[in-house]
Amino acid sequence: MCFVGCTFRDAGNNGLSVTGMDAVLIGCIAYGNKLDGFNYHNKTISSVVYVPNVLEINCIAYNNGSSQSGSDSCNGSTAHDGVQIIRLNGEYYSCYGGVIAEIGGTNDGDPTTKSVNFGVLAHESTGTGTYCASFWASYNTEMYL
Amino acid sequence: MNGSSVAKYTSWITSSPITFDETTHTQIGIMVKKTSGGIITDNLSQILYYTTGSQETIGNLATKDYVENFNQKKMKCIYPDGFTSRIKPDIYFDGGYYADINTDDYKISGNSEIWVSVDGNDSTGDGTKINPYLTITKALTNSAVTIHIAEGTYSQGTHYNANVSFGGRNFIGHGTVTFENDSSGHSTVTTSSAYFENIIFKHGNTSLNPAFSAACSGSSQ
Repeated sequence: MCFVGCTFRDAGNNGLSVTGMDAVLIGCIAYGNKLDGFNYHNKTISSVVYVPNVLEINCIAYNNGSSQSGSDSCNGSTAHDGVQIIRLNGEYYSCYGGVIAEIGGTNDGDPTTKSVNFGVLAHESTGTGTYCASFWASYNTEMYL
Repeated sequence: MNGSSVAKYTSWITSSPITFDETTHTQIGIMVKKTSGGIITDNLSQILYYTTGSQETIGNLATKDYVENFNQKKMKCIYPDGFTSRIKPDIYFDGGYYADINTDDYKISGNSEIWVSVDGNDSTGDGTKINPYLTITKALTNSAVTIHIAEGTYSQGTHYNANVSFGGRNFIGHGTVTFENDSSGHSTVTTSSAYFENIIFKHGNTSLNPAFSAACSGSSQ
């Protein structure tokens, strides 16, 4: 699926949630959402695991999450569960957690979450936790900057 | 710093920014591999360009030296080993990163199209641009692949139903087009591939669901 020039805003959850589908986002914006701006997970249906592949180009995410969100793991863009994501340019900032955060599975055999980031600018995590960095890679993850 | 991946206001990025030397025609960008939070554990350089001609690979292969189209100073970036994404466009660097992307490649194929407008009418409209439908719900009963949406705010419950899948269509917004989901927690959703252009997906802050939720149904990704 593809979003071009779309905005995801003011949700009480994530701005955009993608589970189990490939996604291309070009020139999209996510802001004012209670949790993440852009969020990608796999999905298991009848024992078949669907792992998204994602491309974000010239996207912006800001002001996602807050101290009222109940967690400082609110991200501008975040890939999980073995998702492979490419980010090209774009800016991500002022989110209450790792501004760009990749998080793999915690169990043995879980696929590695991989992100490749070309020309991406991430800054100003507003969270207070130890993982509130501009780029955060956790568990079974490879993040290329 | 143009074009480089940087972490502003944090201290753990220690790699050099992109540089270009006009005299030696050396262009270097360093991509580092990061495997745990906060600390670079492996300086696996991913991009390093140096050239005296076109399509030349030089230097230490461990740093994946590569160059292409030197005359245009157009450098092709290399993906890390093991990066097997189905969506992997060619990405270049010539002072900034870019990819040649044609958004039409991502549209649902088909030539049929209809129009929706907040000034339209589901009873008397015929889906043409000058006589559009009022609701997305009505448009979805039509087999047209592309649904053009005129400027305006379209409300869940009035112009489209909660949790109806938007899959299998192209939705093209014209002007400022907002899909405003209701406050009871419903999202705009799709369970199969679709294409959306120039649309704002908005929620009330009381909603517990995403502004847009895309989840596969098991038949496709």
